[in-house]
Amino acid sequence: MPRLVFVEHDGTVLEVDAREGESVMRAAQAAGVAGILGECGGCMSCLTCHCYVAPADMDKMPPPQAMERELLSAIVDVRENSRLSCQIVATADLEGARFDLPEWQG
Amino acid sequence: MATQAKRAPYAPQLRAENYTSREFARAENEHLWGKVWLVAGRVEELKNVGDFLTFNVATESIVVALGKDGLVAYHNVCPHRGRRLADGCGRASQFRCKYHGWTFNLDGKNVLVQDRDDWEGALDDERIDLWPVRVDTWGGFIWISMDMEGESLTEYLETIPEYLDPFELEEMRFRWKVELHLPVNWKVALEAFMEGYHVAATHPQLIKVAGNDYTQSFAQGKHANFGYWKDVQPLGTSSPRLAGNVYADAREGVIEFFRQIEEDLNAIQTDRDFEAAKKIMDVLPPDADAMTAMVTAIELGRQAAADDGTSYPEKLTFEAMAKAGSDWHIFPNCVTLPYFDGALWYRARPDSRDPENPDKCVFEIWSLKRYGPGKEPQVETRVITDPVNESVGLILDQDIANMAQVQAGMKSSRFQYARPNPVQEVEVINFHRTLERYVLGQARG
Ligand code: FES
Ligand code: FES
Ligand SMILES: [Fe+2]
Repeated sequence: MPRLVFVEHDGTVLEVDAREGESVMRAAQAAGVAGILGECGGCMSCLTCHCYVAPADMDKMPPPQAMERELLSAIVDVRENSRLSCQIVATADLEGARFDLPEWQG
Repeated sequence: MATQAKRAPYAPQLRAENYTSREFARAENEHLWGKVWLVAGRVEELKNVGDFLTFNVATESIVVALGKDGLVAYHNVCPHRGRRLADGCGRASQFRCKYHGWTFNLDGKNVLVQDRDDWEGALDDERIDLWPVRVDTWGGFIWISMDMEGESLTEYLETIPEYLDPFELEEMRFRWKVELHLPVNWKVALEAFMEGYHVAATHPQLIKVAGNDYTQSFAQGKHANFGYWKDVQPLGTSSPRLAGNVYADAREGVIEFFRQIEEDLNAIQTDRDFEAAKKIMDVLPPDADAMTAMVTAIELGRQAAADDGTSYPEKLTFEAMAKAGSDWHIFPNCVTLPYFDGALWYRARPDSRDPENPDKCVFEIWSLKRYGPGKEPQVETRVITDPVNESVGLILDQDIANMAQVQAGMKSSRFQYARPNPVQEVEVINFHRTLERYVLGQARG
């Protein structure tokens, strides 16, 4: 049960115990993280699960695949450390990883 | 004040088929809408990066969004297999097609083709980005043009900014919005607001207090205006068509004018103006003349605007207002009646759900007003599909009641052409001459 840290755009911090094997998007949704919408359920068609991974935690997870990278490039407030949280699987390695949420999803 | 070049007497004619024929509607769809600048919305509708709205006209649909560097506009169609990309309005940081997921960034560039390798590189030479549309702003409105080689918006508007800039339409915000679905040609709806010649017969209650209702009208290139420039009488006095003045006390006439506009139209002049006008009973003696009563009411309105955190436009002098006149047709499909404190704006289009049907249109009425900072209301569009049973206020109900009767009447076998008034209905005449140049390649006789 890795503990994930979500920081809403307004600064609210939520610590969430994720089940190993589920996506970070689902863990956030289940815990009521407001800044993650995940409208498409994780099939990379809504882009409403955008998050920024804390740079120090980037190496705790595999990098994005080509399709995710291309989609991220279309997001207006994309940054170096942007990810679609539905494409990150919660593993034990993610313990303590921090996800900052953007001002808006879409 | 405008002057009219003297010309030999003539009786202009407008062919009925411009309003009733399917061929003409089809020709408009082919030759008009893609060649002109059109109002797609208001600038304040797109506040944040990613906010978008769609604008449908005839067979076309345009999506306008606020990108990082300003407004962007595209044909609202996916190059893959043609699905419309965006629907209504909202906020999205990219356009992603709901059919197969092709994705475009706000610059219109295709950033994702699902399973692109299936094309083995052949897509690289294919057009897969969104088709751009030109976008610009004037008067707080978002304007688009599908003609990538055509004139700029400034060129297109011709003299309009010179006359209407002083009204600062960009400082106004929506007071209310109505969208009517009407069984009439889009031009029939718009033309109900393109002359003042109908006021005495259609709005008899108004001419008791609206001054001299006689109008003159002028072509302004593609556009046109009308105003009250001949034998001007102050608001609050009765039309010379009536015998004598209805109100012996000029103050009461002025207040009655503002009351009618507020209660029966709810636009142009504002609620604030009406409240302010009532005070002339206190500040003026009962024998005040009509001009003093009107000007005092306006100055009280100006004060009321200031007290409410806004103002009347600084450059809008009485001279500037007289120069502009009362009503402008902005070719092809908008009309505005601007005032110090507010404005009416009309927009008409064929109904996109049945774009070749000459008997159907979508007609919008926007009441705009100057608000103090943060005081503008959240306004939802009221959609009306049954105008016979749903009122939009006495004055507009009276105008709308003519429309279906006109559309039906023009289909009579005896009605070949309309006979517009050469002095007071020049907006309508000029509209058809300009339209025919676009649609038929030349104006009819
Ligand atoms: S949940 Fe829709 S893209 Fe991630
Ligand atoms: S039609 Fe848009 S992706 Fe297929
Ligand atoms: Fe009218």
